Amino acid sequence: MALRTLIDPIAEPLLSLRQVSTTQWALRLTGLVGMVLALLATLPQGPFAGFPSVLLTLTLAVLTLLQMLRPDTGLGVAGPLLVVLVLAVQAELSLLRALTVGLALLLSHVGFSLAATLPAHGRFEPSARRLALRWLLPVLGVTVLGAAVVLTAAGTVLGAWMVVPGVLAVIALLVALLPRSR
Amino acid sequence: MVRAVLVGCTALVLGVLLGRPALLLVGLPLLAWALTAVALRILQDREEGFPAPVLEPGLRTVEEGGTTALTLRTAPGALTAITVPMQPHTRFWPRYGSLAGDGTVRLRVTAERWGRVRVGPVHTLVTDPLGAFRAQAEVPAVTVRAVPSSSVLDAPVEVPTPIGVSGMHLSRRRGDGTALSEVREFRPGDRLHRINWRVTSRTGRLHTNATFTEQDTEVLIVTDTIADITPAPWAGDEAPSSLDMTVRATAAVARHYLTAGDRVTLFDLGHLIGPVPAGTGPRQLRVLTNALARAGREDGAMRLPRRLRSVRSGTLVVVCSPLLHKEAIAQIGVLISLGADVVVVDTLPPSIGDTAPLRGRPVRQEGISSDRFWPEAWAMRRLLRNSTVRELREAGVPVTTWEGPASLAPVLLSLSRARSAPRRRRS
Repeated sequence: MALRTLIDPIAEPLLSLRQVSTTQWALRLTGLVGMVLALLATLPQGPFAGFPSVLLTLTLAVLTLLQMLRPDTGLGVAGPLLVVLVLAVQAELSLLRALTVGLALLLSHVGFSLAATLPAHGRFEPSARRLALRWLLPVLGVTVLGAAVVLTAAGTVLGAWMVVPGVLAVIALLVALLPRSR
Repeated sequence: MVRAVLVGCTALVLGVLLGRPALLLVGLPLLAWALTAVALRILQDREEGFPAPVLEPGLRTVEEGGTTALTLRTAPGALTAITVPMQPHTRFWPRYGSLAGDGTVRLRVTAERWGRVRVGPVHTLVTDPLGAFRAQAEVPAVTVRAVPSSSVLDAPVEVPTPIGVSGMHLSRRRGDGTALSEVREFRPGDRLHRINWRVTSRTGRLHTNATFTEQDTEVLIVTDTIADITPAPWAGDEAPSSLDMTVRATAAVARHYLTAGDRVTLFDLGHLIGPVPAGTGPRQLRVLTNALARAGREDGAMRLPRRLRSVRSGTLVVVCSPLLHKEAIAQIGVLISLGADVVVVDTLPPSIGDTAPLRGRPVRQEGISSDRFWPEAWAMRRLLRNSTVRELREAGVPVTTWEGPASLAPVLLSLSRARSAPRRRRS
């Protein structure tokens, strides 16, 4: 009886994992893989190279695990923000590495966004898979276009005055894109 | 959406403030995702939201074990998800009742047991293909009726005393029919085409064939739904309760006699199944099976049993009962005294009172011993009930356990033999 009391609390969550559908496994693992790729690209010296790297790795691991359990959690914004902040303080950041991190964050975000549309036992029909993949193509197209513009303009040196309109433009973009309650 | 915009704009701000174009590339894919979602929303004219989902149920009435579909429609190009709570004795496809598709989603529901199956409330979520903008709604539940499958009884349809007008049962009354009763002298009023010319030519006097008439009969099915006895815990999830057995036996007997052209009526001693007046044909079978399907298990509160006070003498009465309640047994006695031909179908689950698991110590179920001795109590109750069954048999009432369509065949065969047996006056 004592053994049963020990085993039951462990066995029940493991058995409930059987109810998680293949679709959800695929989407959540996509999110996980994206975050792992982003982490590896953010820390080129390795995820366990020093104390700050270990700290970042553990924090991202916890946040990603929480997001795998609850894809729609508000904590999902913390991981990518942390990655952006770490990249901002790095002395050297090549354009290629930055783009890699960006695409990895996109992969993670897409996986978790789609996973949040269904409960853990929900499945996607083939038509749903086709629909989601079809509309990722314009996203990649816009990314490529934007990257081309950034790469082209990267060599241009503008004065400090450009900061003000730049920030205003970002604020305007933020306001335009954030969802409003109707 | 908030996540993508916040992260993208943060990278953008940092890139602008620190003068590092590489940071722009970090936030660019997420911003591209957000911009595409907004553009899609504008292009598809969904700024005011998604169209309300429409739930279209398929067949509202299915047979036990049958399948129907629930279709949810929104608009093409919208990722539509439907989630339905699990119900007992119901199977969904996909297995756990949650599915997403492009604009239209179809969920299949299989009713494994007769009765009313409440599917829902249905939770719907409609989103754009990227999952950025979402709308959720709950659609009220849909009720599907599973009628008991009326299995075919492989048994004769003869009855001891047909009391109808015209049918297929051979009666003892002489009249217009097909079965020869005797060859006698011609009397005024006899039909000319019945003249037996062979005997006439031999005897020199007109002789005619006299026949027995064929009549239909009235079959009254009495159901005992006073209490629903659930099977023993070791019998498994699929084992039927007494109500299941009663309903299935009723459906099988009704179909058997309705197919033979007889009139079938139903009376329920409990309050789960409404009375069904006499009728014939396929329509009556539909009426009966629909009445059985409407019986709700949740209505199983104990109420005062009904009483049937009169029945036409000679009516074939099939009583489907677990023979536990004294009112049900008293009712059988009343039916016999009124001159009905009574057959009892025992619908007590066979695992109830089964002595096989008893070992002289408490029965363990899932590793836990019950201290209430329910299996032992039921075993003793079944022994007491056996004396009731024996008394009924001694009174000339056949009692047979319902074990499927084949279980009634011996009883119905004995009834057909009883048709020609000498009849005993009941006191």
